[in-house]
Amino acid sequence: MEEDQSYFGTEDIDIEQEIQDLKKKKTSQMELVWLRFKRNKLALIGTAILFLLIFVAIFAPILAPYDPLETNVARRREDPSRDHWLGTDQLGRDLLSRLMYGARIALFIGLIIVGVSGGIGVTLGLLAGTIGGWVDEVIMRVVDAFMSFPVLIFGIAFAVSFGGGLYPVIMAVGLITWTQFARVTRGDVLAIKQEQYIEGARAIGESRFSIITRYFLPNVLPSIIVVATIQMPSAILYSAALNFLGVGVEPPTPSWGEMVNAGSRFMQFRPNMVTVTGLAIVVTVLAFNFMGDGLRDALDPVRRGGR
Amino acid sequence: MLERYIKSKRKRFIIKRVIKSIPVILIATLVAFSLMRIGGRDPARVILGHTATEEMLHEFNVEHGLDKPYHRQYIDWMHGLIFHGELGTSLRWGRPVTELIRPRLPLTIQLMGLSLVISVVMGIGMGVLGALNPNTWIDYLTSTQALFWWSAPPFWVATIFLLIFAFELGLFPTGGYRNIYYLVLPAFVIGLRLQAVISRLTRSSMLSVLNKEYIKTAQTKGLKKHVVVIKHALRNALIPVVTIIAMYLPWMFGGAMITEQIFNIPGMGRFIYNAAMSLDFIAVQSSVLIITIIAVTANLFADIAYTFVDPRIELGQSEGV
Amino acid sequence: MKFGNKKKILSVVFVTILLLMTVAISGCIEEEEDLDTVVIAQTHEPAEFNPISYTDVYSGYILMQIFDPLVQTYPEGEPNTDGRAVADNYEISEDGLLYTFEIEEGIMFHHGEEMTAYDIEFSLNTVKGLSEDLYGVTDAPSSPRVEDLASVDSIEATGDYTLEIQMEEADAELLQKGAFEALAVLPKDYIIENGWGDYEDELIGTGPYEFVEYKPGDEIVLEAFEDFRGTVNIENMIFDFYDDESSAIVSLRNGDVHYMSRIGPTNYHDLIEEQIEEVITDTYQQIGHQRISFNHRDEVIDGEENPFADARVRKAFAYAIDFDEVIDAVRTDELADNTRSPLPEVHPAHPPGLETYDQDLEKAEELLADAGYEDGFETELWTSDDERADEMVIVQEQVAQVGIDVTLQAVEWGTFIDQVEAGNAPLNFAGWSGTASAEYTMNYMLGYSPWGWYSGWYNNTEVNDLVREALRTPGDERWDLYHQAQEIMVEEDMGCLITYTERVPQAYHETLTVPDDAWNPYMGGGPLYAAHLWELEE
Repeated sequence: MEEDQSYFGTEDIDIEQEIQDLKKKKTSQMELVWLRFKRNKLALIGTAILFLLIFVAIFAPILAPYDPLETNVARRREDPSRDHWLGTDQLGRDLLSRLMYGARIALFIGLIIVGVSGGIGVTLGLLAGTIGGWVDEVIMRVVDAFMSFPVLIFGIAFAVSFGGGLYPVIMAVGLITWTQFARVTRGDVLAIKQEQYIEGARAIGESRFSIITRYFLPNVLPSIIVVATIQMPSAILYSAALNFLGVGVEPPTPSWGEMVNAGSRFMQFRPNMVTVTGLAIVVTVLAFNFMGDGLRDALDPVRRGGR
Repeated sequence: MLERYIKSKRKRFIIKRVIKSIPVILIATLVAFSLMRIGGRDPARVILGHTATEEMLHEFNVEHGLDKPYHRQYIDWMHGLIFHGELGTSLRWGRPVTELIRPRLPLTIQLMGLSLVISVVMGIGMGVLGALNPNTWIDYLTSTQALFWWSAPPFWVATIFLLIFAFELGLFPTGGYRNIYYLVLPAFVIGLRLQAVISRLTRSSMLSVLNKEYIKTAQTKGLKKHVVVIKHALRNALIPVVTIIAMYLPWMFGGAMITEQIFNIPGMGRFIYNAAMSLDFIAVQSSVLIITIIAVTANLFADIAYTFVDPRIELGQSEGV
Repeated sequence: MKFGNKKKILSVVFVTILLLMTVAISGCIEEEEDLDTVVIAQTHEPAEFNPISYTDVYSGYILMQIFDPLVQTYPEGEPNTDGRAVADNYEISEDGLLYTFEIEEGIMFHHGEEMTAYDIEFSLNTVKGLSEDLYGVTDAPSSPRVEDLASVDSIEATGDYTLEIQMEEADAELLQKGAFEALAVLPKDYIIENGWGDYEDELIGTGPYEFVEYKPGDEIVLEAFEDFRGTVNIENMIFDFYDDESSAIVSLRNGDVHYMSRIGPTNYHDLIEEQIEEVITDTYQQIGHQRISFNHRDEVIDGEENPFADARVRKAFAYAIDFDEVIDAVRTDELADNTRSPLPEVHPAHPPGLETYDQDLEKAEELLADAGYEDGFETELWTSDDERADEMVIVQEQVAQVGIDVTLQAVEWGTFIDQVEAGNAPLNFAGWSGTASAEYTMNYMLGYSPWGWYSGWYNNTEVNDLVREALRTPGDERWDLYHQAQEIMVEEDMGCLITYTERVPQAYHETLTVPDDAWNPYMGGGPLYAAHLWELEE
């Protein structure tokens, strides 16, 4: 559901095409890619922020100044102070600590969603591309159908019908955001299919499964990674939205979406919580987008345009 | 095979494209139908509440046909839809879904239309500015704002806008709907994010065309050629914008759901949200189907329009959507 | 030519700016608002907007403007003559088996016909489920209040203005039950002639406001009934549905909304703390409470043993909690009273001196050890995902101190009801608000009630018997029976853990005047029952 657009300019919006071009180059290109990536300041900033975020998420139990679940009813909804650097929530829990633990949840959910949607999408894409024929046609029609569903509407209906909760939300988003994975994988497969060595392998009589895993899969990997970097921030936004709407992680577990919701209930009197939590989400997603764009630019600099 | 009867490549493409949409919609009906039934929850208790008696619950299920086997329910729904244009009776409100949607869908379309205007004007504007001044501070500014709005969660943006522009500054109403002005702030929430996509796209397509064209016209000097080139580049850049908008229509409905909720606007989005939260399968399945049909149709038109505009499109092979 | 394109771009920009300006201007010219309209905001839309089958208070608030009840009484039994009861007077026979009502003459229905005792007979029989048998009306909805009339033998109009109700068994609180307090007097002839399908679009009653329109998801519009037998001060009334309470409060501050019943405690406190002058806050004492229920029915829940089958564990749980802290967390003692009785202090059935289970961690640990849980145990507590969840977080922390590890399942209301009904909740935290009838409040917690599932299937035959006997005992003696029943339920069994009884916060705009005597705890809906007496400044 996400557009596959790079940040600093592209030749055209056909990502399949550009990845195909990439295949023609050799592996030593990896070093060039890394150099190009390094030159992009924003991408570096984004990556740095991400590393910081992952670090915080992993080491939250050590870094967090307070227990995120510890309430203190006497100090509710406070603005930032020396004790609580970002203030407190409606039960007096430290916001900074809750945001840190919230990062864990956000990244975890995002990762699993991308895993699920990637798994579904890549599998379907491989099937569609390698088998072709009416299987391909059917799968592509399914792709078309799923691309016409609004993710949030699908997500909330699906999650509510399971009573909400962490895993229904993950499944809900994962089951509908796989389409980009499928299309990209299929496109790759179609391109690779033409290659000589595939013909050769089939002539020798290699099993289809072996061909898929030895030749297609490794070559499809770079584009899968690229799509994953686009889907990750997307997954974080969708799951936060579902948490905001009330289906998802249950209290007292901190989730950013739910915290925005809780904060919005009294934002006309104390806007601190809503503001701070929202910014956390923005910074995280922004960082992913900077990094992702940088990655895509580094992979194919011709698309940068301008100079 | 069709070549024998219809000579025009374009017409063949259009026919094939339209035919391709049919299985898509069929699949969509299956998905919309199953969407809320897989979870296996019973809406009667949820809708009637904890003080309802067993008898009331049973009555409810029979009245709405929920005691029939799933395939029967699907067939009944499809039958009503295809032959009578009926969308079923809402579980939550007991009225025909068509009656419930009728006043709401136009409102959401208005909201989305306004968002489109905002996003197109702003997006193309930003994109052009960036493309004409590549790698300058103007470019960085426009590109960064695009990335910012792309990364900001709409539910948070809506909440903050409500707080700042409606409540604190009093520039906009704090919710509800009396006239189109009530849709402006929510339209900005959706439009600002959509604008991010459009501006990036416009910038990059313009740039690529500009590069090509400048190389061609390198020798010729003068203001005249300069302007012609820009005009040509802009026109080229607009083409993918149409496709992108069609592609983002589903997302816009989702955005409408959130903004209508936060701004208390009685549109389709809020309706679907309330229906979903009440486990009103019937209202949800029909509403989702309608949205899907709108999206599929929009993409169909976009693809067809493309064939008239961009001769580079190969009408022989297409890749769905 | 070279300026031609600039012209085009400029014209496009110009047109767009013009468009946006017209939109902006149209926004400034607000539609002529109906003067003399009071707007009431609710965060819940009626689930069933039907006077017979409605199940929730939010429907009740609206329906009570359209319909009048038969009688309204105080818990001691005296009739409330301040209300809109259509009965002028009633008598109960010595043995409690015959009720005779004198009906006021000249009360008009919204469609111009006069109301008689025959309409009341018809209405009560419809609640009782006899609509088809007695009148041939086949599409009448079922009522959740049918149980209230279980001991009624027959209902008969003995003249245009007299009604008799014959009982099989005496029920001292009959008139205070929902079936009566929430009774809507329906137009018999109209419904027999036109059926319920048609009637649901019209909703003709005798109340001060007529039903105009229901826009699902948005609002319900009412207008003053010209021929109402009393005064109706404000011409139009709109009930506006908001999903989000804080948006509603913003509208209240702006004066777009005039009244909100049942605002959340946090917003209530904020409005006071922030000294928002335009908004007046107040509370009314309702008959209602919040409680933690134990699942008494299932020994095993979700594969795990259910420790709450043992009374010692239940008591330990209660002793581990510091109720004052729970109250302080959200409501504060302005809105909640620390008591283990489901009835508030003002009610005569409230047992003075009932054990309060003040926090005593040692005792809790002792009891747990006795029951074989000295290392504590794990369990789940289900509740709704709003401020209730916040309160339960406090409880979670408190009981952790004695080794009880509670996983909190705060879910949306629909899911909550599902799970509790299915028996998946070892603990559940929710509330109940009732009418003046003490039995009505006790009933839902007891084993013989159709809502036993909501509060965990607590079944103690002694308690059940005491409560049922109280119903048959007219006069003040029955209060003793209720006291005894609660003492057993709370002190011996800890069958149901009431956390507090509530006062309901309200907020309204300063341009609205609500008469002082409208704050009667025994009138359901608080000041809303007297909405026709409110006044709105221009």
